[in-house]
Amino acid sequence: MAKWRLIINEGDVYWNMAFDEAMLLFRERGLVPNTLRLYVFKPSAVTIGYFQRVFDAVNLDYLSSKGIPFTRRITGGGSVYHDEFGEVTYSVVASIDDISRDVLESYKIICSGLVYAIKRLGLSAEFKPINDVVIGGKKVSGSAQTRKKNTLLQHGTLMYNTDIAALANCLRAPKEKLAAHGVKSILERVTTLTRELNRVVSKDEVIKALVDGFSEALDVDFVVEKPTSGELELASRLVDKYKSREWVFKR
Amino acid sequence: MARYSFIKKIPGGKTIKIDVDVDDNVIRNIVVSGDFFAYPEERLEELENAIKGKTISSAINIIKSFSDKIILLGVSFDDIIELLNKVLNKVEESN
Repeated sequence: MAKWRLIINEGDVYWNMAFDEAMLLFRERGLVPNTLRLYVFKPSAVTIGYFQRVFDAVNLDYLSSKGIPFTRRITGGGSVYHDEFGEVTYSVVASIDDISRDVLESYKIICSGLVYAIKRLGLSAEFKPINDVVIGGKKVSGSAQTRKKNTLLQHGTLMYNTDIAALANCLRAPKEKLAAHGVKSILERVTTLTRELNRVVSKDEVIKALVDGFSEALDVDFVVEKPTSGELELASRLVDKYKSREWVFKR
Repeated sequence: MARYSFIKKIPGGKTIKIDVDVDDNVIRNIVVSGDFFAYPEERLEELENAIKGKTISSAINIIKSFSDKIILLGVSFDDIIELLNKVLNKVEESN
């Protein structure tokens, strides 16, 4: 079975996004192997999609009153609340040829890692194209992917005990979007593993399930490694971009 | 100069919004935003820049010419054109 690198770490929102980008650029240059990264946002934070307008995607007054940091991702998709105590984020950085040239297909392949992970925890989940994983129709995970010439970065959430009221306060969803989902608020269209299992799910069991789930989905073995010094160096330089007004408010 | 904003939610999909500043039938500024995906991402900004300074009808032709340069997921080029046509209708109403 192919061997992939496994990195488990944590950081603030700027560093987390910088490190994902650093891994992508290093993989594209052939300097690091295919990698699964599992991490949390410390402190809780918000990320918005590359094409979103800040004012449409988040509730700025709420974020500033609570001191919740936020930044723009290099990936498309929607705004995300990353709960330090209730959400694990994954990143897959891999050669496109090792997943699929077809973008939709590659979402499905990588998201099946989440489906398998959730199954290991005793729940039935399904991939909902383009980029969601749902349990009983409610979203428990969202993913977003960007590509370089030969490499893809897909990162996404798994909400195991997210404070959904805080999530609803942080994010703004257009009325049109909620209407199309047939529900009145974010509160009604997302769920967590803790809610679905009716018991408190821990971060450690989620991480273990994700490692096993991705191993099954990608048919690979993981080897725990530390980031290379080059990636850490590049990430620390990229942090400034993710903190800059120019980047965060570029739309 | 007048600003127009139109938004479209694609059923079961994503949301797309355009904010357009129009002056004398010419697009001065445009931002295409939303929770969709586009590959490569930077090329959407090239598209926005390509239609600044153009009339709405010539902008629509330029957008069509980008349809084989960008892969859109969750929204389509027809959605962008549909929203621009709404702007065009508003502009014509106000003339």
